[in-house]
Amino acid sequence: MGEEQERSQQPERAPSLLRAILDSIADGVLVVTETGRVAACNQPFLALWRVPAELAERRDDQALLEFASQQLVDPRPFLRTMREVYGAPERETCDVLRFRDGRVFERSSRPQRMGAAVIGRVWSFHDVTEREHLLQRTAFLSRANQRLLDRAREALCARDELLSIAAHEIRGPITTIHLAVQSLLERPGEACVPRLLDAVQRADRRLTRMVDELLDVARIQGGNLQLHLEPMCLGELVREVAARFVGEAALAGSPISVATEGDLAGNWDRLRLDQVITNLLSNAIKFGAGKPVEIRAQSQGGTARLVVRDQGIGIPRDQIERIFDPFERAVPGRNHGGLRHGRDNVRPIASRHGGAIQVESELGGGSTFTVLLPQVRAPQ
Amino acid sequence: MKPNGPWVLVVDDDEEIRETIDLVLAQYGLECCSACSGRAALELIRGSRPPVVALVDLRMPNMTGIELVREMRREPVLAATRIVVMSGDSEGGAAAAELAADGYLRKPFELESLVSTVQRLVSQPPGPALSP
Repeated sequence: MGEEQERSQQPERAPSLLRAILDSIADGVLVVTETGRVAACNQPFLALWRVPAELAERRDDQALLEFASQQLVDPRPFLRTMREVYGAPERETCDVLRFRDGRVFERSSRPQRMGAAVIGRVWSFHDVTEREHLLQRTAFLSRANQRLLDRAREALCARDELLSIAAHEIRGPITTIHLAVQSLLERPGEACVPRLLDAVQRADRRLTRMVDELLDVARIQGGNLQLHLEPMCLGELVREVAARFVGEAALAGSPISVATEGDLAGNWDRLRLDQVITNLLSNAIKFGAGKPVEIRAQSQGGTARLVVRDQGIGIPRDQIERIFDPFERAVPGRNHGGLRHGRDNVRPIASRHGGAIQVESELGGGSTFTVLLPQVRAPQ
Repeated sequence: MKPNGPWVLVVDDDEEIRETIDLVLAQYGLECCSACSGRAALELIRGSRPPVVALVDLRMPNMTGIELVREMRREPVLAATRIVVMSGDSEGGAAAAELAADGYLRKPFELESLVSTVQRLVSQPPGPALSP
């Protein structure tokens, strides 16, 4: 084709060129006149807005607008922006459209000029759904990550507090041993020697028990809890442990009432259950505000139910689940002298027996701990 | 048991410590009476003549040693009682200073520290608080 011929065909080729350019753009493009009538749009626009061919061919602007609006979660800002720009033809806009089906478009518009005059507006639509979902997912992961980080930090603080309490507790029996041994060395002939030696022996036992408890926490939290199952009666064990607490309970002004009902035989680890009952009773007395404590064991449909109830200071609602966390004490401040007798061991022991523990508590209204243990019957 | 003569009050939830302090101070002619909690201590004080010295552990369940000392400070009859704070915590010294205690024993303490602290306070008339 000659140069002359090409030049002569230019006016006819212009619309075809414009169409080719428009359709080659990945974004949806819509061109409207200054009065808002649709002048042109490209194929990606029709595809992004899922405009049926029949509607596209009808060239009914109102129907097209309604069809588009219906797809949006909230069409009001979409329509408002359109209305506003007709009164401000020089304005450039950019906003985000959220679709009912979850898609997200970025919409921008700028005036179409011919010389100095604005003769229309070009709207472009860019599908940013994937980017938006990625951002949402990143924000979700970041929040989850923060929560995990907070829990880890809290666990570390709780562990540090436990270590600090343990260090304090250990100083008690060491003080007894110091004083008694130094006194025995200075005045070996005194009449009080047997009582001092007895105090040393008790302090020594306490130290051994504390070290065992700390090692036990480490062992159980490390997942190394081994059970030694044997046929036993939960009712007997409850009465036995409760009897050990009579003196302590009387001192604290929290008498213990014991009730056992039904056949409470099972195949359990006696020492571990002793630990569970000891933990729960000791905490009930310690945090029982000098009010009566109740321990009850009953059999219900093949499950032994052990309930320990106090009427003491209770546990804040948001901390109920956390009292069984490793190292957690769930009591604000350091007012309550001593270790919480390893309540973090209670849940793992109950779980290893195929059971569970439930807690109900009200701040100032006391706490109820319920341990459920399946009664795997002992061989006769 | 109520004391007859000048006496030392020992308040600690640790039974062995109470008993040992009681036994060793008795060897130095100091009569002791002990209480396992702040409440029990207040009951004991209110039913007897005021103690010359009170040895108070800071960390106890229900009523802490700090709360007990503050209660004791409010009792006019205890104005002359010298208070020694006992604690296994590193912050015990600061608490003793804040309470204007007459002495501070950091657990585990030696027999000599215990005896000399108590003897000094028993022999000294009440005056401005000493630094812990």
